[in-house]
Amino acid sequence: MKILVVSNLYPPDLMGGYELGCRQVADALIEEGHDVQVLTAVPRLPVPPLPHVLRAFHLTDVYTPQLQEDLPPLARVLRHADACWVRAFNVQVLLEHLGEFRPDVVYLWNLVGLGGLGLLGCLHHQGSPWLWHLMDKTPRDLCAVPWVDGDGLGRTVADFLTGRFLACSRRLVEEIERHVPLLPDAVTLLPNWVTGPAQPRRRWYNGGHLRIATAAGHLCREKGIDLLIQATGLLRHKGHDDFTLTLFGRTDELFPRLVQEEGLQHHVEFAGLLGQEELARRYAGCDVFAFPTWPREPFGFAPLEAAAQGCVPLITDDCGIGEWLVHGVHCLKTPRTAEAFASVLADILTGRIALAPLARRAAAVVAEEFHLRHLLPRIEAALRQASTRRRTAFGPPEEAYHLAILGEKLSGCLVQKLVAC
Amino acid sequence: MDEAMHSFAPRGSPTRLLWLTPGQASRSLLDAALEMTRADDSWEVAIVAGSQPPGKTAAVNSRVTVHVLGSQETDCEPLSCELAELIAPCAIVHLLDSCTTSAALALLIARLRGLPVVATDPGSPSGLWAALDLVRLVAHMLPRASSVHETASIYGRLLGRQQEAA
Repeated sequence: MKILVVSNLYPPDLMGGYELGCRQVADALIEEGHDVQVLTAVPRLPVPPLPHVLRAFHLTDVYTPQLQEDLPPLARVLRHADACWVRAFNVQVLLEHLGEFRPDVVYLWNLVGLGGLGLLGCLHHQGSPWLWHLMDKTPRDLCAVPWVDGDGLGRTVADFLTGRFLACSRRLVEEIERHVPLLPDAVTLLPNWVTGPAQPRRRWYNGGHLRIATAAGHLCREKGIDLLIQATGLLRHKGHDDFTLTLFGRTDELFPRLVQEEGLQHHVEFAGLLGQEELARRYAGCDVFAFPTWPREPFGFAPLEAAAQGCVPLITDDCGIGEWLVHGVHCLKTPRTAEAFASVLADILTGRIALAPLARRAAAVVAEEFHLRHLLPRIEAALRQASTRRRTAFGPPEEAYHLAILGEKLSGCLVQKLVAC
Repeated sequence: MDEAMHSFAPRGSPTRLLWLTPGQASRSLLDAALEMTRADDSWEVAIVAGSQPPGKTAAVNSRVTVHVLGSQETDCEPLSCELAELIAPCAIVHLLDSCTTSAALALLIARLRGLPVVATDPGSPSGLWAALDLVRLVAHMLPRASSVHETASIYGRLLGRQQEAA
């Protein structure tokens, strides 16, 4: 198949798991012999060129908080309109690439920052079939209207969401459908995955010093980092001292300060942002991967990657990955409080929870069921199925671009009126 | 004239037209819609107006209806939604004297559904209409004084062309 992958960012320029997942699948599809081209944004920092990657879109960066904070309301809303609604420039880039590459199917990833509705409208106008891989509530983000808590734009846009979707959890689909109705039977659930081999494991936990890990591209409250530090503080108050917590990822000043306040300097280590291979090697030396993430976590790659190395996921009981792993069999689930996490960790330390059998089962199930080599045929099948939905274009590419210009100007006018009111 | 008009509309279930006018739905506009549907029972006309016509509230009869947009043009979200819902069952969108943002939005929504858009010549185009050369997105520009017969003939040709393309 000729597959055109469209993503806002593409590694090494990335925000987190969504972009990494995109690259892993693109690489795997190339290995399987598909003709894959990636169309993404000009990188935020220089990156080495890749032969199959064209970095041509203009990205409206809504991911860097420092770029948003001091903006006046009009500028902020216009930025949102650029990022989420229509960016005629990007529509033109897409049209050129559709014309040159002539893909059988367009494989969409995160479209925030590119004027995603414009790209979707363009594909719809041109009759190009697409499959959208959802690892976040991107359709809902694209249809959000600042200061308006409605679903009007979502219902308008739903008419041209006529492709197919892969989604990493049912919870994510439900969250999207509350604002953007998706076609029935258009969504296939597919879990996130791991790649690469399992690292040799030095030991399976059988009492003694407990090595706890957590990881995120950006360590933040949503991932429950503050709760986890507090949980380890509670562990110490309960008299448990034989543990270390290692946090992988970028951090700001908040969490090191919290560690100081809790007096945990000798128990908590910030290891920084590591590459995937190094991270896998480090997971193989850890016993528990604590993931007190927020309930709207669509999935999360990190607990799965840790489980692959025999590091047992201890996760919030209602997050996305919880739909795929069984409590007490492949993982441990608990309510999202510092007390609850501390209690489970204490049970491990006292031997009330036997970690080693869980770790072996977790590693086995991830290797069997969640490795990309096992999931790729399902992705290929979804791409093939999506590719059959091609239809005649409503008009020539020039008209699609003209409509994008209209959409961009119109959203600009309406936003200005909205702010003025 | 009636017999001739019969040949323009596709057979089968009625074909719904959306007429968008920026101001009040005038008496002459309503009369034109009534004449069109009387002459050929396969046309239906939904008039979307900026304000209520005099003495009328909603349905003029079963095949000519008048809808007033509930949202202000500043409320882009409900406006787009209302327009999309009104356009959904239609086969053609006809912009009458419309240089407004709601007309531009209707044009965008209609073309993204693959519907042909007809416009009555705005005379001297201004605003978005001129700045974005929206005339080029319109399948046919009707002169201001066009008759109902001529209008129906254009609609019929456009629908026939669309069926051929499909």
